[in-house]
Amino acid sequence: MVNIYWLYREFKRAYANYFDSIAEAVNPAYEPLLTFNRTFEKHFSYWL
Amino acid sequence: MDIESIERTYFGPEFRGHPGPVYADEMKSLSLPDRVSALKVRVDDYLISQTDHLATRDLWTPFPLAIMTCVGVEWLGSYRYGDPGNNSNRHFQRVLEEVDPNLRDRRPAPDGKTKPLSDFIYFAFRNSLVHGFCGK
Repeated sequence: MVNIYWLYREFKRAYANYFDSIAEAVNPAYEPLLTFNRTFEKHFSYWL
Repeated sequence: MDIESIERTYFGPEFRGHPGPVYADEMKSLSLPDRVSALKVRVDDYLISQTDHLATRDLWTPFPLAIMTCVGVEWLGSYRYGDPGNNSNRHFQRVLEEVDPNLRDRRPAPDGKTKPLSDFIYFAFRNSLVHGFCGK
């Protein structure tokens, strides 16, 4: 049984931590930032 | 709202350092840090702030919350671990294992193999809700 209230709360925590970590990155070659950008360009290729 | 704003495709709200809402035609010129900021405020606005309203026990069932949480986990995994167009890199499960390392624990599955608990959530919970739910 999955406690969905718990899972949503933990998802939000992971989401916030993730964006904090890549927002603080100063090295443009930081791998998580590059992974972010690859997905961003894939998801929004129509507009890029 | 002026005519020019109506004719442009809206991407998301303004973020710090950007003088107003973000439109699709601006995206090419956004720096990588600005892409991060623009997507964060977009997801805060489109996903988080709206799903927060579902995270209450006042609703009869948490079904909508479960669906939106799965959407969020999958979306986060695609940015955190990459999006191959399917779940071949286990990005959904890897987010789950990040939020609770106990979900890496392996248990016997119906096929006789042992699999991580995160797989049970992906295949039995997420897939059943997203692909198998039949409203009556």
